[in-house]
Amino acid sequence: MKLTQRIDRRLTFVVDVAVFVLLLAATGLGWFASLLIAEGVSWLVRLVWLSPALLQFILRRLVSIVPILLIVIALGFILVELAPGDAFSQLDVTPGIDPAFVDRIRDQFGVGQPWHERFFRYIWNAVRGDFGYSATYRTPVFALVSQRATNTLLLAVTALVFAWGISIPLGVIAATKQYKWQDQALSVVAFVGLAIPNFFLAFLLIYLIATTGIPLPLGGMRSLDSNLFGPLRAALDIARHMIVPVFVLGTSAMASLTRVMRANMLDVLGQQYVVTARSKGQTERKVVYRHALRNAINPMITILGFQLGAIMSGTPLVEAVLAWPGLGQLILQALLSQDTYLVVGSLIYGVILLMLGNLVADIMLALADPRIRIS
Amino acid sequence: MKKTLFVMLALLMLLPALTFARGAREEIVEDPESGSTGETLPGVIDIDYSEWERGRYGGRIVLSYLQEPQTFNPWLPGDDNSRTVWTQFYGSSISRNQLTLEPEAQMAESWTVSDDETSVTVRIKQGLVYSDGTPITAHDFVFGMNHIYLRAATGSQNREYFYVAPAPDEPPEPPEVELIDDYTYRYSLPATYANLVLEAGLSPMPRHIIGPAIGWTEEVGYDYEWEWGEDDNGNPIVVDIDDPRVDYAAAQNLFGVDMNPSDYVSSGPFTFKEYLPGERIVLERNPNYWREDEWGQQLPYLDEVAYVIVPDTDTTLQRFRAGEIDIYAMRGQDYAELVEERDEGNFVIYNRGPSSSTNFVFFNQNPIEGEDDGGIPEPQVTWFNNTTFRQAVAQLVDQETIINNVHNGIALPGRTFISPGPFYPEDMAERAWKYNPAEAERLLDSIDYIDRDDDGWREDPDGNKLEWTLITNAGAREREAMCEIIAQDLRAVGLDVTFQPTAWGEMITSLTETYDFEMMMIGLGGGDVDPLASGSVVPSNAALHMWEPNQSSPRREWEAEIDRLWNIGETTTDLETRQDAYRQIAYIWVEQAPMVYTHRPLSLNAVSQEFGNYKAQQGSYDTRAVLDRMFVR
Repeated sequence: MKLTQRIDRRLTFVVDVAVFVLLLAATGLGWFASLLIAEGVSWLVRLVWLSPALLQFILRRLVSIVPILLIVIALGFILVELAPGDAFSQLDVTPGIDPAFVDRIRDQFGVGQPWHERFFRYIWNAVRGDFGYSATYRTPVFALVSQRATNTLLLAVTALVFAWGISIPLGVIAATKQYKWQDQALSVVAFVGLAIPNFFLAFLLIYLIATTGIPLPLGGMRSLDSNLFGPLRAALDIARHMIVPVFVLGTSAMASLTRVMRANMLDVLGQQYVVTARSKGQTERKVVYRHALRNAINPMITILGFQLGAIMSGTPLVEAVLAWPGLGQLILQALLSQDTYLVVGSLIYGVILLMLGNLVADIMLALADPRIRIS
Repeated sequence: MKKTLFVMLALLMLLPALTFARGAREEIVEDPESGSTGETLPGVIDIDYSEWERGRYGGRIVLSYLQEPQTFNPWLPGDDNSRTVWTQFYGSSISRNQLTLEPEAQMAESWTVSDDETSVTVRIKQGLVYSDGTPITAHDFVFGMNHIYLRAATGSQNREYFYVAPAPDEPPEPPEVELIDDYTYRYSLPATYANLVLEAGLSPMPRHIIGPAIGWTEEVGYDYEWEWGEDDNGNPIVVDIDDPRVDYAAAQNLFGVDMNPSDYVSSGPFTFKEYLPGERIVLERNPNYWREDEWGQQLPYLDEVAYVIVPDTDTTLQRFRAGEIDIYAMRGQDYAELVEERDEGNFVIYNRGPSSSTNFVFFNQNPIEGEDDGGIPEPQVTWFNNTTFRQAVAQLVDQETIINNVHNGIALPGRTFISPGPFYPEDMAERAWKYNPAEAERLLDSIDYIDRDDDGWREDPDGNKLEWTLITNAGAREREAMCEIIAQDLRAVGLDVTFQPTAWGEMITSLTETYDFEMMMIGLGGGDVDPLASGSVVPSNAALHMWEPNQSSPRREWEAEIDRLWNIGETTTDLETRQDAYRQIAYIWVEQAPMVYTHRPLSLNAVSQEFGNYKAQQGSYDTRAVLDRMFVR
C-alpha cells in the first residue's frame, strides 16, 4: 500500500502512451488493436489504486479463460480431424502434381501425425507465442488473423453500439405506449428484423443499391483510390462503406434488444417505487427516465457480452456477401481447406473476444448498478 | 453451464461457415474435350481471334477476385486464383501465341531443336530488363530451373512434372538445363518428348532477389546434379544433390501473401503495387516490359489492373451491373437476364467457346487383391468391368436434358478428354454415345442382366440385384442436379441406383486411397489444347486414372493399347502422328466408356464496352493472358 501512496496514480497515464507505442512498433498490430490492448493494460494497472477488489476479480476471470481456451483448441483439432481428407486433399486430384510432392508437403506440415500429438506440440508452441503456419497461405497464423481481426472487431463493435443506441429508446417508447400504435408498429418491425436472415438482408440491400443508384458502395471496406486520401477522408470513406454492414448486423440484434428493453421497462414501470414517484407528483418524463430507465437497463448490460458473441457469429456470412475483409472470410476458407492451425487460431481469437466481452459487461454492470458490488 | 455456453457459441460461429461450404470445391476438375462452338447464342459475340486492335495508353481495369490469394509464389502449390496474380509477373521465353495458340518465341529471339529432337537451344533477346532495371540474361532462366523448380527442398510442386522417361519401362528423369552463354541456354531431355519446345520455354527467376534469400552466390554456379535413390517401397526416385552452401528450404518463405509488394520484381506486363488482405490487389504497368504491339508501341496499355476481392458471386454480378467491375464470368443462370441488359448496361457478352474442363461419371473397376488392397468386392467389380454394361450405362446419360435443365443451355455435350483444338477428332460427335434407353436395355438384355424375379429391378446371371450408389461432392449444386437426372434414367431401365451426395474430403479419400466407391461424378480442370495435359489421367499408371489408378502394368487389353498409343503421342513431335494417336485413343475411350462425359460449359464473359482487345481463350490463355493488350477505348 505504501508503494501506491508514494506514486501518484496520474503518472500511470504515461504507461498508456508507452505501451501503445511499443505495441505499434514491435508487434505490427493495427493502431486500433494496439490502442485497445494498451488501454486495457493501463486500466488494469490503474486499478491497483482505484479498486483492488475489482482487479482481483478481473485477474481471476482472465485466468479462467485458460482452461476454456484449451478445450476450444482441442475441439478445433478434433473438428478438423473428424472431417474426411486434409488440407492437401485438393492436391491429390490436381493433374500435374506428383503424389511424391504431396507426400513431401504432408510430412512438412505434420499432417499425418495423430491429432493429440499435434495438439500438445501446438499448445507448447502457442505458449511461446508461435501459433503455427497456415498450410494454405504458408504464412504465420498470427499475422493472418490479426490483419483481419481489427476489421471484424470494428464492424462488430460499431454494430453493437448502433443496436444499443437505437433499441434502448425504442424499447422505452414501446413500453410507455404499450398496446398503442407505436408499440404495435415497433413489434412488427422487430419481428421482421428477427425473421430476415442477415445475409439475405445484405443481399437485398445490395440489389436495392445497384438498381436504384443510391450513392452507397456495394460492399468492400475502402474505395479503390483510398491510398490517395488524407486521414480524414480515408476515415469517412470507411464509415461510408460501413453503413450497409452495420445496418444489417445491427438491425437483427436491435430487434431482439428492443423486445428485451420493452419487457424490462414494463416490469420496472409496475414496481411500487414507480407508483410512489408518480404519487409524489413527479412528471411522467422524470418517472420514466430518472427512476425506471436506470433500473430497466441493467439486464441489457448483462446480455451485452452475449450480444457481442451473437454479432460475431453473424459476421462471416455478411462479410462474404458484402466483401468485408474480416475474420469471417478467413475462418470460412480455413474450414473449407481444413487448415487446422488457421481454424484454431481464429477460434482462439473468437473465444478471447467473447470472454473479454462478458468481462466488460460484468464490470459495467458493477459500475451501473449500486446493488452489485464485486468483492 | 457457462463454459458449455461459450463452447456452444464458438461452435455456432462455425455453423454458418459449414453450411455455406457448398460448391466451393467444384473446380477440381481437370481437362479436355468437345467439338466446335456449335450455333451461336443470341446476343453473344464469338471472339474474333484474327488480329489485335491498336490500343491507347492509360486507364485501369477492375476485375473480380473470388477468394483470398494463397501465395504469390509461382513454384509453391496455390490455387488457380493465386496464379492469376503472379502470372502477370513472369514472362516466358517460349509460349503459345494468344491468337493462334501456336508455340512462339516470346522473350526468346529464336530456338533450335536438335536433330534427334531431344534438346532445344534457346537464344534470349538482348536488352531485356526486370521492372527494377536489372538486366535479364540466360542465367536467370537456368537459375530458376536448376536451383528452384527441379529441387525438392524448395517446395517446387512442378518438379516431377518436368521429368521424362528415357524409355517407356524406365523411371522418368529430370531434364538437363545448361547455360551456354549470357544469352543462350540448352534444354535437353533423355528422350524425344512431344512438348519439348514449350517445356523449354522457361520463365526467368530474378536471381538477384532469390539468390541472396537462399544463400546462393555465383560461386555455387548454375548446375543441377542428381542421383538415383530409393523410396520406402524400393522404387527408384530422383534425389537432388544440394549444395550445402545454399538453404533451399528458405525459398519456401519467399513471395508469400505477407510480403511487401515492392519487393517483387517483374518480367511480365505488370508489377505488384498493393495488396490489402480481403480487399484488393492492385498491379501497375511494368515500365520495362519487353513486348511491343504491331505498331511499335510498348505494352501494356493499361496503367493499372485492380482485383477486388468479392467472395460472393451474386454480389459480384451486382457490382458488375453497377459498373464497379469490368469483366464478369457468367454462369448459365445469368444469361437470360444479362442478355437483355447488355445495351443499356454498356457491356458485351463474349463467348470464349467450350471450357477446357470436363465433367463425367465413371465406375470403379478396381478389384480387391489381398487384405491391404483397396477396391470394390464382387459382384460389383464384375459388373463394372463389363464393357457392354458400361456401354449401356453410357447411353443412359441424357446430355440434352442435363444441358437444358441444369446449365440453362449454356453448355455443349461432353464427348472425350481431348480439348477443342488441333487434336480434337472431327468425327467425335458421331462416334460418341448418345442417349438411347431402348438400345441400353437391349445391351443389358444381351448380357443377361435381366429382371429375374419380377421386382422391377434387373439381376445379373448369378441372381445379384443390380444396385449401387452414385456419389458426388455434396454442395456442388449442378453436379447434384445432374446426378439426380442420371440416377432417374438408370432406375427407369431397372438399375437400382441411389444418389448420395458425399463430403468432398470423404469422396477424395475414397477416390485416391481406399478405392471403395462404386460410381462417381467428378470433373477435371486445367486442360490444355495439347492432350498431354491428360497425362495424369489417361495412361494406366497415372494417379488420376480413376477407375483403377497407379497400375504397375495395364490390367486390361484396351488399357495396354491406350498406353501404347499414348507413348507414341508423347514421344514424337510430328503433329500428324500425334493427332492420329490421340484420335485412336479417343475412339477406344468411347468404345470402352471408362468415363462418360456429361457436358462442357460454354465460357461466356460479360465485358464492359469501354475495353478493347478482349481476346481471351481457355485455360491459361484466358483473361489473364490478354491484360497486356487490353485498353480503354
